Amino acid sequence: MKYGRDILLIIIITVVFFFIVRVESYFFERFPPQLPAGITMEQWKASFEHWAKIGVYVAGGASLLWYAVAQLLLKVNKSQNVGKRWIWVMFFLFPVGAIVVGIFFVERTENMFWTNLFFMVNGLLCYYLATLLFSPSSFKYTPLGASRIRRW
Amino acid sequence: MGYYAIGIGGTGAKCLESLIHLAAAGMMPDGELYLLFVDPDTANGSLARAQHTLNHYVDCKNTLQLGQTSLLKTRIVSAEPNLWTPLENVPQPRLDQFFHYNALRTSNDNTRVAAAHLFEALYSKKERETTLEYGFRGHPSIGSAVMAKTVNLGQNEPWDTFRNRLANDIDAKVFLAGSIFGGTGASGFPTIARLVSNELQNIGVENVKLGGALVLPYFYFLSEDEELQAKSEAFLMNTQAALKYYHLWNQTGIYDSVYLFGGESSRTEVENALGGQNQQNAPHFIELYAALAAIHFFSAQFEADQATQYFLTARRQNGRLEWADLPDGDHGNTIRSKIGQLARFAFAYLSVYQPKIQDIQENGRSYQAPWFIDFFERSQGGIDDNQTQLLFRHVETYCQDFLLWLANIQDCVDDETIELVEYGAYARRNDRNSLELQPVDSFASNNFSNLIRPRKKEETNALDTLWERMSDGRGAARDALGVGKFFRALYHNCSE
Repeated sequence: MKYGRDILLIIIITVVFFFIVRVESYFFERFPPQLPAGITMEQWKASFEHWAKIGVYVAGGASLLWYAVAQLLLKVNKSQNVGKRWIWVMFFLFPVGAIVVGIFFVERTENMFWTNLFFMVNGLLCYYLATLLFSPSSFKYTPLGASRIRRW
Repeated sequence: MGYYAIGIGGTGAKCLESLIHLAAAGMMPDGELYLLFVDPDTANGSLARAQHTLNHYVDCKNTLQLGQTSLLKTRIVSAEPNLWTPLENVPQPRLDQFFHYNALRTSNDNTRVAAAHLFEALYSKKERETTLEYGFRGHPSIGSAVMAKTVNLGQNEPWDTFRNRLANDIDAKVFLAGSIFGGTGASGFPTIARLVSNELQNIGVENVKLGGALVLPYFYFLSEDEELQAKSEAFLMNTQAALKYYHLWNQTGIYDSVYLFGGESSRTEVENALGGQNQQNAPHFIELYAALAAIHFFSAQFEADQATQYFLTARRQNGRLEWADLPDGDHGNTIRSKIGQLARFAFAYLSVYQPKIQDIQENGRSYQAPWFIDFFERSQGGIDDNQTQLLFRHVETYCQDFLLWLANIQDCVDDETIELVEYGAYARRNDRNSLELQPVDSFASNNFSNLIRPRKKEETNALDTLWERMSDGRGAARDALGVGKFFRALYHNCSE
């Protein structure tokens, strides 16, 4: 019950970030970037959304994977087998990898600042928020800042 | 209603030790328990262990605010002082000095000289002149004389307080425990009961009930020297003589309930020791029976003018002891459940939680233990104060005492099958062939769910489940306060 609830909430956070990608796409409609020759705004937005969504997919997947590993594999049968913050940090590599791939493959524009920022925010924040709020109980304060935020 | 238990001699002290552990597990009925030890051998190792356990129980109980829970449910009041010695701390006391034998013998008064002759007739030269700092050396005839002369309710502590408490306690119940085959228990059991009864009659207190556990021989030791001391080969004869004496003079008639116990084979060998620190016999399941007898007595209802009740119990199978054999009124289920819960609590605290608390204090990183943040950092702002540190040490020591006691109960006989505890997860035999706790990092964590027999399906991650429950804050009770919230939750989450 508790586990199902946590997993559902992680999925909901991931879905929220899909909506955020749409909002970011809308942002580019309002403030269009300098597109290279031969590519339309619609084509560029499709490319951005594609890679941004991949970043969110990967972040959501990493959050679920962290949950599964922490819940199923990291067993606290000794006082030493605790915390495991390094594993949680290592899981950041998944969204980071997706961000790098997205930045590399998205259609280039004159100024990539907002594009890169959105990729990073989508991937990193999605993983961070999902794990900050819904890590397994035994590791609920492992994400940085969780002990200040989480009250359940 | 108050309960009073007096442990007479080494065996009596060990019976109270078991009673303390059962009280810690929540087996006692509601009410306060007042404990007193009687032993002329003040340095007796068994007594020292029982006092140690008592002190840590009292320290834990007085400082932990646990609220309504079975853990340490009973408030135990330790008599002040909790040990009374009939020899009044005289260095190297002797029976002849105690009764001023030389003065009697050399007196000009014929009556006094006759008393000296009577004294000679009753006691051999060796009995008269052997020092008694190690107790009555298995001679109840010495003990009875000394006890009768020195127990004086209302004249000295702790008897004065004891008497006053009884005088003001409606429906008090007093339970005495001792061995019948040695010196101190056999002499104190009828003598102290008689003196208490007489004193209560004198002050007009009639509603006090007296119960007693008489422990028959259940161990032996090899004694070679000729020194005056308890000899296990004389245990059965001593027992026979004492029982005959009690019967002839109706010495147990003063009791409302009497419980008699004995080890069938008497095959438990203990180290031969005259007394003092060396006389530290390991706990035995007979003492657990005696403690259950005390609880039975404390829980019993008595009718007016009821004759003395003598209780019998038996094991279901010869040479085998299981939880179902323990008379807890529930076919052993209650004691199994409560002892199991306390064992898991002690095991988990010593092997996982105490080391983690220490690690966090030394190295920080409290995020590693969510329960630490929830129970300590948020609720009371830390645990660095001296009082909290002391409390952790009390709980740690009590848990060690309890686990070791439990292991000894399991392993106290060689020639019988005992199906109570799987102590191999946390204790082992040392070079001196006595049980000791393993270092906590050697505790077998995968046996956490199987500390109590019979073994069930192994749950290798039971400690992980416990950690998760603690991190969820399960079992956090509103009526527990401070550090007590943590211990209450840990205990609650250790239930089956």
